[in-house]
Amino acid sequence: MTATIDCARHTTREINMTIKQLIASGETEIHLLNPAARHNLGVAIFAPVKIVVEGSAGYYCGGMNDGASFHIKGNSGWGVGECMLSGEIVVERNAASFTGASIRGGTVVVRGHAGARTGISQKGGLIIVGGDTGYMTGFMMQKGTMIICGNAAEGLGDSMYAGTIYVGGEIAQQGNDAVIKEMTEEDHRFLAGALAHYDLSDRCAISNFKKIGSGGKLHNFSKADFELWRVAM
Amino acid sequence: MCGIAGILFKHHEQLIGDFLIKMLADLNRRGFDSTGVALYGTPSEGNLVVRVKVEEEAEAETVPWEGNIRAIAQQFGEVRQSSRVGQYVRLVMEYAGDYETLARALEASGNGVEVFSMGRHLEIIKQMGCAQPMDAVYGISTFMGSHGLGHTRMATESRVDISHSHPFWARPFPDISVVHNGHITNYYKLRRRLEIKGHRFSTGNDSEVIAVYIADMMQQGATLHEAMKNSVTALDGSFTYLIATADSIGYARDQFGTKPLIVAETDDFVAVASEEIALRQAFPYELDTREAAACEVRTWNLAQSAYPGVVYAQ
Repeated sequence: MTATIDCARHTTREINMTIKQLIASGETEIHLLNPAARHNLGVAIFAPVKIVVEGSAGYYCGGMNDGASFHIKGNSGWGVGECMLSGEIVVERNAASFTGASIRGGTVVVRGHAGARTGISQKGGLIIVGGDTGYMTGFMMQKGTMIICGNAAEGLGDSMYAGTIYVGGEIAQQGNDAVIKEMTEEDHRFLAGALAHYDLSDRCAISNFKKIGSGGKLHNFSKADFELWRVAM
Repeated sequence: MCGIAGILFKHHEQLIGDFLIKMLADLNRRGFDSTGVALYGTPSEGNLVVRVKVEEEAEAETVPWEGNIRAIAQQFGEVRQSSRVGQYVRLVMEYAGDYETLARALEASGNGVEVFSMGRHLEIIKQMGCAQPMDAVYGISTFMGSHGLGHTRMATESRVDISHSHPFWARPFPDISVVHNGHITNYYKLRRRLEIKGHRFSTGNDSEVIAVYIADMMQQGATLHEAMKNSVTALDGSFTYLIATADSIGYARDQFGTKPLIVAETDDFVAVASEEIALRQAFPYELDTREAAACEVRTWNLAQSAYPGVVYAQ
């Protein structure tokens, strides 16, 4: 069953309450018309429902998502999918800062470019960016995977504890203790599968990808690495 | 938190005031202490438009401000038009002298009198409160022009009054205005340096230093783009600011990308705002937008020969 909500006729609170009511009554697909870059659309959805945003979303679309599948047909503002536990969010055009911040699971896909601090404090799941990402992408990443088909700006993976970032384009500057690691056959297979699944295979040749991970030097304090700590703090 | 917005039409003049008011009415969510616009049009006569703030709203009208200010201005050049709307006296005149001299003479006409803008194109209007009441008094949405800036203020640093509201005129440089979202933390240091060079500051607002810094750099021969590039490292703190000159508009974002700015460009216009939702109030259709990157500086320049349809972007 498919339902539609015309955002132009409702407050954000009404829209989000209606989504929950529709889910409770058994709807499996909900289309949000005229979203006009409104903030907080479809936050805290805890059901395996499909939500199609027929245009651009504002801040925190799909935030705290647990199980729903979002398709945002336009751009998204700050913090799309923030704190997601599971599910999927696909942004057709560009996303602003804090894309997929603190996600613990699920997948965030941005077909265009993403802004600063993409995947900040990522704790699991997968973030795929078809274009470039901004300053301090993957800052303090703790787990999970990020794939950036384009270029990464300064401070990539700064102070990351763990997790993996793949970058297909240029890296302007690696962050503190973010190191390039050797690509394996398994990495190639994973990238090929993930990009093909989201129809992004043409964005970058798999052989161009570099793998970034934590150097582990910030895991335990060491006087010998004092300068690294001074900069990182 | 503050809201900023800017617009530039590449090919022909438009109701820029209307676009700005629509965006600012939405951005009032980000700040409702005051709202202001810097509008760039072309006066039908005269070579200088002056906007003078005369008195706070609450006070009763006891002084014939328009006549007094007109009489002073007349000593400097021929006044072609004068009018009084709300808290402003607007003059259109012929003047080729030093702008600071004229501004000081006009301000000597009474307590609290302040020149808010001077230029061939620039008109700054700002008022306490939100965009729609301001539009109701000043009819901003009927203003035709090529480009303009807007601001909604949530004051954090300096006084909450009309003088400390944005946009700021880069006094005494004609036609340069700035709006800013953020804090300039090395404000006092920069201000001292510029004051030693002879620049005058009208307020204690940290944002004013951006306008004066840029104008000072341009006076030394830098282009707008070069001056803004330098500002990204010269200014400390969090900022996204917009600047406009007689024929240009541009933005700069700090090194950490802390304050938002969404950019939309088409063949017809460049529109920027703190949030996409504000852009959508002025353009009720899907736009291809992108958030400005940290450290990013972009400027657009209208070719000066009366809209030949060429805009040079950097």
